[in-house]
Amino acid sequence: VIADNQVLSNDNAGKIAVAAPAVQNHEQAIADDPVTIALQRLHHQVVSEQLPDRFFDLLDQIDAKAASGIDARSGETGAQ
Amino acid sequence: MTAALEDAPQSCEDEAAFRAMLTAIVPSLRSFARGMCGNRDTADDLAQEAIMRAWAARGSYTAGTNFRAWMFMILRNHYFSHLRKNSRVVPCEPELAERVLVTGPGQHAHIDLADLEKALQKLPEDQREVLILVGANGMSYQEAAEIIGCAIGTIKSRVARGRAALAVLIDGKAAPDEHGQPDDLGRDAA
Repeated sequence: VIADNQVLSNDNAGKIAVAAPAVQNHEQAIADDPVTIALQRLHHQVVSEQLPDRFFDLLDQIDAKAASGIDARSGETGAQ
Repeated sequence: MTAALEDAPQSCEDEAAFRAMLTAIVPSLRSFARGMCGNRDTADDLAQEAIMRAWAARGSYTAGTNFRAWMFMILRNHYFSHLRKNSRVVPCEPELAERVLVTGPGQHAHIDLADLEKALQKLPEDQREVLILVGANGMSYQEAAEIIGCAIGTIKSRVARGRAALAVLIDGKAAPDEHGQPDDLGRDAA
């Protein structure tokens, strides 16, 4: 009996092998696990927090740096 | 913070797209860092530093490849560097890792998040990181293996051991084994 999520494959000798879907089953077991659900709640709690200002400041610095780089390249192109 | 927002030797063709990806991944980086170090401010320092390093190294990122894995690798490397520099004593309980426990369905119906955070910090680093990547972030074993740089089977066993150890730490007792019998915490790991 072949389960729906098992995979059949032919090897070089023509024998049919059944690949056990261990990883898929294990990942499903993890997804249903109360500990995993709690870990996901913890994750969602953090990602739902408002970002501290320091990250916006950092992204602003990146924007400024990117803009200056673009300006510099535009200047080089213009000079040519 | 130590890294500077220097220009990469090879600048990314689409810096706006790179910047957008960086912005989008910040919450996940904070979550991973928080789970790893257990401290909000330190976690934000780590995430911020990782962003700066990523921007400085944006020329080495290949567009179209797994940006999340690339970013998490940067953060993970920085975290372990930070650990080495600060010689942090990890309050892990390695004997827990040796106990093969199975968590039955219906257990831990409601786990207090504060208890979970404390328990996470008691796990060995290698188990903690896979639980955060696979369990909390919902990554596949393959993606976690790519980030950590080990085999998928290693990730799988670390997740299983980490889950079991976490269940023990949260409950303060062993979960039943696969036969439904309470596991004996006092037994030898061997």
